[in-house]
Amino acid sequence: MAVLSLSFVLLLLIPTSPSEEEKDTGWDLATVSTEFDLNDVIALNSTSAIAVGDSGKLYLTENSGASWSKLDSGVVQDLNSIEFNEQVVAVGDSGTVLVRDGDSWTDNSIKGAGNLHDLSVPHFESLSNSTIFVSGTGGEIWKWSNNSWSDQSNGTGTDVDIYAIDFIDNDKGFAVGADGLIIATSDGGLSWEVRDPPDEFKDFSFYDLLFFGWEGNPTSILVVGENGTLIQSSGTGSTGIGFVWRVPSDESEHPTGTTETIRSISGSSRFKFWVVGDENYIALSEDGGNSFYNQSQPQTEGVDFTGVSFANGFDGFIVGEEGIALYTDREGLDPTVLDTAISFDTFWVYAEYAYPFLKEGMYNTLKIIVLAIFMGFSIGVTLAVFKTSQLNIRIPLSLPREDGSWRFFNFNPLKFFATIYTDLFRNTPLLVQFFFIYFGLVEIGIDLTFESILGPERALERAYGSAVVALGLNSGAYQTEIIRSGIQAIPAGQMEAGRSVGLTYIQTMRFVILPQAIRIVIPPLGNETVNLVLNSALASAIGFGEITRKGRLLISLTFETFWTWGLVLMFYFAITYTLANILKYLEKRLKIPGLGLGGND
Amino acid sequence: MSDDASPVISVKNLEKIYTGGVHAVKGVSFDVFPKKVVVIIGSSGSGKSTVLRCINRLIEPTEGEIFLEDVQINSPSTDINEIRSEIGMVFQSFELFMHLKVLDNVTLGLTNVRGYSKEKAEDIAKDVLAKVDMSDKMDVYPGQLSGGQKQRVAIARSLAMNPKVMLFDEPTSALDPELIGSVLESIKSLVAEGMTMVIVTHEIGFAKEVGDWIIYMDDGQVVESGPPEIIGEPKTERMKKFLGQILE
Repeated sequence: MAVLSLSFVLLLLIPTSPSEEEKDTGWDLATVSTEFDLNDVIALNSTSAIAVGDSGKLYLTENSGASWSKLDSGVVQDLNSIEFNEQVVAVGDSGTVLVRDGDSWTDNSIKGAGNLHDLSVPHFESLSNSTIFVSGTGGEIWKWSNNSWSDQSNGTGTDVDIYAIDFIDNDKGFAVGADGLIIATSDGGLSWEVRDPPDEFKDFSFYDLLFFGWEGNPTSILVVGENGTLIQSSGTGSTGIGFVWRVPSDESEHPTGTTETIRSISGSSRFKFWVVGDENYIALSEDGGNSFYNQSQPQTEGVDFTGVSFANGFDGFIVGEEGIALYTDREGLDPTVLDTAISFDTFWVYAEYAYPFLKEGMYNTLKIIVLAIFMGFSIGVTLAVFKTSQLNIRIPLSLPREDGSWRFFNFNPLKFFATIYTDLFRNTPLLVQFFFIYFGLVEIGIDLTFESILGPERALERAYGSAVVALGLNSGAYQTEIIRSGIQAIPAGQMEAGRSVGLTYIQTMRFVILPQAIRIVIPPLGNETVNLVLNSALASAIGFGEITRKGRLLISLTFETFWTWGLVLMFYFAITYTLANILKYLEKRLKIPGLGLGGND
Repeated sequence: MSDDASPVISVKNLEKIYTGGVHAVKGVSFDVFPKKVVVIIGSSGSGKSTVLRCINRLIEPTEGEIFLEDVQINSPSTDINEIRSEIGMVFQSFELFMHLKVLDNVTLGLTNVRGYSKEKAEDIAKDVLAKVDMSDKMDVYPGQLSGGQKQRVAIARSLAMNPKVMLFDEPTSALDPELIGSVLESIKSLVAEGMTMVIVTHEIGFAKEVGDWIIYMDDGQVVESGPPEIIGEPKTERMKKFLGQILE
C-alpha cells in the first residue's frame, strides 16, 4: 500500500520526498532461501518468473518476485541459462537440458556435450515438435529438431566459449562469446559467418545479446560484455543487421557508465532495456542506449548480477550470486533520478523516442475504453428498462381514508434503484469516483483484479480493473438517461402491439422497443462514448499506464511539454475521430427506410 | 343471438374506473359467439375502445368478469401472454414494428411466442400476407407502405397467430377515404372465412354489412344492442341522434 500510494503521489507530480525508511529505490529485494549462485532468470508473465542456479537449483515465483519456491529439477549439475517460449527450457553443465512439463522437468540432456552457457527456443509446440539451439564451451552449438540433437559445432568456425545465442526464427540467429566473438547464421545454424565488432572491442568477451528484427527497418541488435561494453547494430534495408557496429551514444564513448562486466540484457523495445552485471550494476536505457539511468541498489552492495528478465516495460526480475533476487513493478525507477532530462534536436527524433511510450499508452487506453463502453452500454440498457418499467408495488399507508378505503403508496423498486444509481453517478465528480473505486473498495475487500474469477494467471492489473469499472459505471449512468429518453420516444402503441401478439413485457422490450429506441439515440450515445474516451484520461490519476500517464512519464524524462502534450492530443483525436466515424457509419447502416425525417438520401 | 354454442368471448358486468377517477365503462355485458361478428359503435369517449382493450387486458378491468371460452381472462392466475396470443388485435394507428420488414413483423410472434422455427414461421407469414394481398411487399419496411397497406399487414400479423377471436379498434379511422376500401375488403374476407370478431368502428355501412350483432354504447353503457337491423330503426333518442350525426 505504501508503494502504491507513493507512486500515486509521484504521478500527481506533487514534489514530496518519501521518508527515509520507506525510500523507494526502484527495486525490491526478494527472499530466495539458498546460498547457491543464481545464474539466470526468465519472466513468464508480469507476476511469474523462474530462476536457475548452481547444483540444479530451480526457483519459481508467482507473486511478482516477493517470494520464491524451490522446484525439483532432478539434476545436480549447475544450471546456467533459462528460456521461455510456450514452454520453459533450461540448460546447464555437462550437456544438461531440462524441459518443463507441468510440475516436473523432462531431462533432454545431450550426450557428449560440454558445459552449456545459453539457449534459444525459436519454436516450440511440443518437445518432439520444437527447435532449440544451445551454445557452450569450446565453440559448441547443438540444435534440437526432428526430435533429436545434432552437433553443429563444426559450422561455427571457432573454439572459444559461446556465452549467448539467440534466434529470431528457425533459421536466423546470432551467437556471441569470448574474445570478441560475434557470429550469425541464416540457415538454421548449418553455417555461421563472423560479424566482426569494432577493433577496440575485439579482446572483450560478450555475455548476452538482444535483438529486434533481422532485416528492414527498424531492426536493432545489442551486445553486452566485459568492461561495460554495449555495442549496437542497426539494419540497413534488406542487408540485415550485424555488419556495422557502433556505441549507441552520440555524446559518450561509454554510455553504460561502468567498467564492470555486463552479464545480461532484457528489454521491452529497442529503446527501452535493462542491463545488469558485476558489482551491483543495474541500469536502464530508454533511448536505445544513448543514455542510462543507474539503478544500482543500496541493499545489494557488491553483488554480481547474472540475469535480468522483463515481462513488459514495467515488471522485471534480476538474479545474482548467493541467491540474491530483485524484482520491480515500476521499471526499477528510483523516483529521485526521474528528473534527468534527455534532450532532442528535432521533433522527429523526439517522436521516434516518444512513439513506444505513446503506443503502449494508446493500447492501454483502448483496452480501457473497449470494456468500459461495453459495460456502460449494458448498464445503460438494463437501467433504462428499469427506469421505464411499470412494476408497482402498492404499499398501504397506515391510515385509511374517511370512507374506509385504503390509501396506497406506489413503489417501483426497479425505478427507485435506477434513479438512485444515476443520481449518484451523475452528481459526483468522476475523479472522486475513480479514487473511491481504486483506493476505497480495496479497503473493504472488493478485489478489482478479478483474480477469483479469472484466476491468478489472467488476473487484471488492479488499476486497470478499477479504471474500467469506474468509467463503465459512470458512463452507464449517462447512457441510462440517454436510452431512457429513447424508450420514452417510442409510441406506447408499440408496447401494446407487442403485448397483443402475446410477447411478454421483456420480449417486447427486447424485440420491439429497444431496437427502435437505440436507433434513435445513436447520436447522443456517440457523444457519450466520445466523452468516455476523453474521461479515460482520469485513469492516469490512479496510476494506470494509459496515454495521459505515458505523457506525464515522457515529460518527467524529457521535459518536452509542448511536443509531448501535442502528441498526446493527437493520439486522443485519432481515437475519438475514428470512433465518431464508426458511429456515423453505424447510424447510416442501421437507418430504417421510410422512418424519420431526411431518411431518403 | 344463437344459443346453440357457448360464447368465445363473454363479458359480464364490466366496469372500468381510470386512476384519475373517470368512470369509462359502467356495467357492460355481452357475448361473442363462434364465427360471429360483434360491432360496437358509439361516439368518441363512449367507452367502446376501453371495452375492447379490457378484453385482452391491455387495460385492466376494475370490476366484472371476461372469459375467453371457459378461461377467465382477468383472473390473476391466468397467463395473460398465452391468452393474448389467442386474441388478435388490430389498432387504429396500425402499430407495425417500424424497424422490422413486413415479413418479420408477421413472424415475430410466431417465433417468439409460438416457438416455431424460422422456416415454419415464414411459411405461415407468407400465407397470411397473401390473404391480405401483401405478398409483393414482404421485404419492405412499414415506413415505405401506405396506410391501407400498413393496416393489412397489421391484420396479417394478428391472423398469423391463428387467434380464436380478433379485435379491431377503429381499423379505418386513420386512413384516407380512398384507402379504406382495401382494408374493409380484407376484413370481409375474414368474415367470409368464419373468423370470430369484435369490431369497434365508425363505418356504419360496414357495420351493417358485416355485423351479426350491433352494440351501441354511450357514456360507458350499452344503450341498444341487437341484429344489424337496429341501425335502420333505432329505438332510443341517443342512438337516433348519433346515427344522424354520422350519416350527415
